[in-house]
Amino acid sequence: MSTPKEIKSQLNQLILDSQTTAPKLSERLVEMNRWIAQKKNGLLMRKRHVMQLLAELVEYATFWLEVESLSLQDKDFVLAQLSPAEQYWYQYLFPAWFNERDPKSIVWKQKLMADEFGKSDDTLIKGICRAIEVNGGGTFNPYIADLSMATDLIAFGTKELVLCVQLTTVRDSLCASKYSEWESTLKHWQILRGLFLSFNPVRVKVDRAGQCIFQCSDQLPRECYRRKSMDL
Amino acid sequence: MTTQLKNQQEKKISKAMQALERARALNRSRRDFGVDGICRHVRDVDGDWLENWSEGVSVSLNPEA
Repeated sequence: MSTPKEIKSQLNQLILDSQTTAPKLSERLVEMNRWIAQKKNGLLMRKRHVMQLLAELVEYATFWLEVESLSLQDKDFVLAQLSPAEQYWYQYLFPAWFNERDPKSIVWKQKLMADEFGKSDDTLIKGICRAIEVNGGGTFNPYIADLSMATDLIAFGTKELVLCVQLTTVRDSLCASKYSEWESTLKHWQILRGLFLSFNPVRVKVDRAGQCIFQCSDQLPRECYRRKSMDL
Repeated sequence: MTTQLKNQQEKKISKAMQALERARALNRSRRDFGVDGICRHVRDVDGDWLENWSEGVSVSLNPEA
């Protein structure tokens, strides 16, 4: 187990280590560091949200920096150990996150500190991910992808094609702006393949939602944004 | 490749793989337990670290940060 002090120290080290090799990563980590320093009064839940985010970012940045410094042969060896979703994350989405502007950062930073993120999705996502795995696929769900990229999970099926999935309840999906916001977020990050799945968790079992995502991962075109609704 | 260089590369690979495994564990934990799961990976998450967080980034000059 780490301590918050160790996480802080790792973050500081990463900021220094990336200054010359990946200045944009360094800047983004400095930004995170500054944001946390400015929010002194911490409610219990927001501490857990912020620490989850930080602990993940430290590991992503450590992995990314180490891999970047490897020889081509060693890099290939390490990248071959990753699942398709992890490859997409580390090779494409994570670098995009620190290299590009994050238009949602103001909103998620405010929400995170105000603890406005509910826990209602947690059990759904867990069940859905398990269903995808049982079918022979896999998922990866970085917290920052959820916050910045409107992606609850990066899924893949047997064809190993990645799909960025946003889950929502049927009632929420009636709000047209939520879909268009999702689409523009994916466009911003140049995510090519996305699924906006709205379902009724009372009527639709998570296994079926997982099965649907698994099939979409294999069957959807290589470039598309698709909206699906499961109400029954 | 000299032995020293080989050792360096192996150390880097090992560090990367450790970070990869920890990132996987953190992903699984949030998926299975929500953000409450972070308490299984980081000690004293509910303590006063947020209140005491400083902006300093110099590890050597500011080890208590």
